[in-house]
Amino acid sequence: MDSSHDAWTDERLVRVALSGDDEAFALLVHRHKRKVFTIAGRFARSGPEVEDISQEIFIKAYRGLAQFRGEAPFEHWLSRIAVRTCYDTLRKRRKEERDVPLEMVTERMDANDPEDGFSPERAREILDSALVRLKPEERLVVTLLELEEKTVREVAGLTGWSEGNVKVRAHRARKALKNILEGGDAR
Amino acid sequence: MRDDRDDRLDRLLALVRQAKSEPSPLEEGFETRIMARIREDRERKTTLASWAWRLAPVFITIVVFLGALEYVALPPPSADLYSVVAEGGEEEHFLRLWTGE
Repeated sequence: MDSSHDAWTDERLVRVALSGDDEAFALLVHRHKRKVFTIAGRFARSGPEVEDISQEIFIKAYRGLAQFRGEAPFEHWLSRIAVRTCYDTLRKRRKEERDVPLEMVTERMDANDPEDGFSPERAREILDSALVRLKPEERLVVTLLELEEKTVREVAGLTGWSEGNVKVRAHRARKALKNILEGGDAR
Repeated sequence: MRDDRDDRLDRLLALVRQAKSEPSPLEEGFETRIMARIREDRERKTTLASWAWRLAPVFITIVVFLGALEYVALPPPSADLYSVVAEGGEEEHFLRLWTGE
């Protein structure tokens, strides 16, 4: 990669990429892949799926590069694309995940209370198996608010939903999540 | 109103937040794979466009040929149907048309 681009701002790299310089876009990918992989990793089921979602996000960004006006930092713009792509992925696979047996969640929770000191990885496994039973919008809002620790305003900005809508969905999501973890159904 | 279940959920979420997000090994060479895919997309679009341009003369030739064929091969048009109907001779007209007389 050409090191002369390294000191350039994201906005300048976007302009140069739009003029046909592939190296400039490759540098944008290099700078932001970590963030995109982290977001995709919250929603993906496996390593290859993280790669697929991340590729999808950057391809969308490349195709929509002309729509970036520089009003917000490039990272925010890219995060919005990332969140919407993850949301689309959740909606597409909603049907297959709904079929995860409820016992898989409850057995794990019965055997493991968070106070028993099990590992963060184990906690994530339990939470993931509960999250798949939520509606895509609920899963998205829980992930962004509770795991990524975004504010309601940030979530509204990322998803395009109103702040009121985010709050309502967050409330429903928590309620459903509590029911699932207690061994009941989501509703 | 918060209850035990909220506390339990919060403890679980706090634990999950602690789970380290290690850099994925898939990040290695990711730029190269993305740029390869972008170039592939671009080449595919260029190939499609170039084929469309290459095939354009063929389509134009076919259209001109069919136009010429219609002009040369088809019989001259008979009297228009409106005037035939107005004269009350439509049955005779259709009979001639079908028998080729």
